[in-house]
Amino acid sequence: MSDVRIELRYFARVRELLGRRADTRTFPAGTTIADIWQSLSEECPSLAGLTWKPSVNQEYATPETVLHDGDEVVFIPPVSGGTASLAIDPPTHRSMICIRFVGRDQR
Amino acid sequence: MNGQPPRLCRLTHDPIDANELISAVQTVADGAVCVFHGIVREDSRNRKVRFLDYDAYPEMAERKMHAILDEVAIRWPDQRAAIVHRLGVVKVGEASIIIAVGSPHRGESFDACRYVIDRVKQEVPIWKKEVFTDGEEWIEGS
Repeated sequence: MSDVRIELRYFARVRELLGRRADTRTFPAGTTIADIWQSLSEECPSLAGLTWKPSVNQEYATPETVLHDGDEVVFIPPVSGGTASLAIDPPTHRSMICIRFVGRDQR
Repeated sequence: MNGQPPRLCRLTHDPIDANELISAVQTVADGAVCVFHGIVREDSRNRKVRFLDYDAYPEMAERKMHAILDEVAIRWPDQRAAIVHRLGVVKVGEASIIIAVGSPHRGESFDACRYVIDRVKQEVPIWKKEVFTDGEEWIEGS
């Protein structure tokens, strides 16, 4: 199995603690997001207490996600102030798919 | 073309012009335009704020903002919303975000506007750092 090349981008507190905006790094195949965080935390111990939610290629993901060659990974600090709750629920995934098709037809 | 104005959804380093958002959402079918301004306030937990400094993961932030407008289009098919969010330094009293919703009737325009700001706070990767007279701090929330 070959290595994977991962694009890491850092924002907000993570960027300030690491002192840089981005890295391109090579990891063994099978590497997860949690593995990368582990290695960053070893390099920069002050990262250890931070809360984050990962994104892969600009979509939210879970720390267990196994990465593929060329993936862009970001450790996203919480963006929500306190206990933000919605007065109205978002539409279901199924209805989102429908509107995409409808939207295209109309253009 | 089906008569819909082009969607306004972006990040900017410049002051936001609410009139631009209103023009972007209002059609002749509308009886209401609801506009929300999120403003930088001076006082935060009893410390005096000098300014806020907003950072974003810009590509994902714009993508998530568009997704929220897609959600509005599903929930409220006869309404249109626009979002503009500031980045960088925003001074006390200035708007860090403005949302506008055009709607045939007022009731749903308030619902949709509230929905958009709540979703932005949940989903969009934008962070603010409060810069005080005596220090600075990243705040977990926009």
